Amino acid sequence: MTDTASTVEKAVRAALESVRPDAAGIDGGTDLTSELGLDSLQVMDMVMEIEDLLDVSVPVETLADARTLDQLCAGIVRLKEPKSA
Amino acid sequence: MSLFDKFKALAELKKALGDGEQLSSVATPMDEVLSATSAIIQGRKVVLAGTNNYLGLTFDARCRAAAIAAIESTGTGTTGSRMASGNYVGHRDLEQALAGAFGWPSGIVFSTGYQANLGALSALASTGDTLVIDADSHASIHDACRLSQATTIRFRHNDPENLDRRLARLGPEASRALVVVESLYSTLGDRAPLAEITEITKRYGAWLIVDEAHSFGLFGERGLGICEELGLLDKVDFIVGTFSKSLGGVGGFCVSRHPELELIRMASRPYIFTASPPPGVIAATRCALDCVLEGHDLRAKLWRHVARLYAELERLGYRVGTKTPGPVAALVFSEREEAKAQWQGLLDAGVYTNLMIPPATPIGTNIVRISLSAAHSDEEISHIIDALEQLAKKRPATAAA
Repeated sequence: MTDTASTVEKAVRAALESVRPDAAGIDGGTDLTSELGLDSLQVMDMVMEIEDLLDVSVPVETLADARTLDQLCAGIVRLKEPKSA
Repeated sequence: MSLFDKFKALAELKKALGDGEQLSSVATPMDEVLSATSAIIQGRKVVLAGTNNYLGLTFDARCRAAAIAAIESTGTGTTGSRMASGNYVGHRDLEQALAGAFGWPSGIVFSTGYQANLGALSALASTGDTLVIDADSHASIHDACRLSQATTIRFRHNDPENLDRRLARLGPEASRALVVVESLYSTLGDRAPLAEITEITKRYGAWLIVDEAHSFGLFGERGLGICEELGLLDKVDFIVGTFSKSLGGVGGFCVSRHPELELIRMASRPYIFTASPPPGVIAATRCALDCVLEGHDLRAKLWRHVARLYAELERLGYRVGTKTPGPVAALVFSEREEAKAQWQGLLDAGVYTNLMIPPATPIGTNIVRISLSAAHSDEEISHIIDALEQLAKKRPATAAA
């Protein structure tokens, strides 16, 4: 795992826990809405938290493509990497 | 498996909100509409306090006469797009009148208010551009972002500092960013901090579009909206609005200081691929626009009702969505059943309002929304307040805010 990927996953998990404390340590393949049951407002709060932690703006389109925690992390890594490369 | 399986949760929700013998709070059937402020529901006359008929112009004699005359002379519909056979003199005249009211060179009429946002935003922002929208935006704005090929970024509701950070991250690309806000958010009735938002947007060289759907006709010396009232029109690039609230018709518009707005007619799919508004609607709206521009007395009456209702809501201990009095008063409840009981109680007392629940509302709020109209009489406002007082007395003490 690259440094960016590890930083992103840490931030995403912290943000998820801030909206759903019981979601600590969930499997990365868990579907955030159908399995974990996050509603659209919780997803948005989580994303706002991620944006502040990582100083990145996450487009709505990135969210729409991500169903699981791993997919969300991968999408955010892609956002960050072009600039750091 | 069926195509309809996914609707099961919605069907249950609909049932919970009233179904069968119980009157539904969703799509409540109006048996007859008697005036701008009264209707028959389930055989009983009620005061309408849940419309967007802020100036009561749906029943204005001049607007009705204009609509009838246009139908008689020009027919019931255009049967064509503005890009084809539906481009009548009435449409062009209304566009010029709207743009002229703002002192701007360009105005475009759309067939609905929803399509005004869809058509303007999806055409203005495309591949390589960024739409920066308030997180609590109306569905038409969210849908416009989906239709657009632009990147969409949300900022926290009414949070200028949060917007500032997002524009800062865009760097030079901010010059291709369109910031989208509503001047008055209709769910809670709260207003955008427009002075801060205009300052931040200009500082980064971004563009700003303000949706005045719920404020056009009600704010400002000429009724042009909150941007006019705050003296910010020269800092705004585009304004969108609707005909279906204070103007009493159906349709929408976008006006701009930039003459290049005209170009989107060639690119905006919601503008091109739909029929233009019918002549009767256009004629009534043109007449209603004059009523708005000269509507000081209507506005004064509405604001008198607003001041009275907000003072009474505070006295009665209701939790209201915003402390700043406005044409929308959102009674906020933490429990859905409590909100539903309030809605039903008001209806039983002869007052029709709107019940709104998540996900159509900000997190955790259930809302009974009261909307006022200049057409309400003092007696009708008294009726609404009496009903609210009776229900407040019945509430457990803990329920009061």
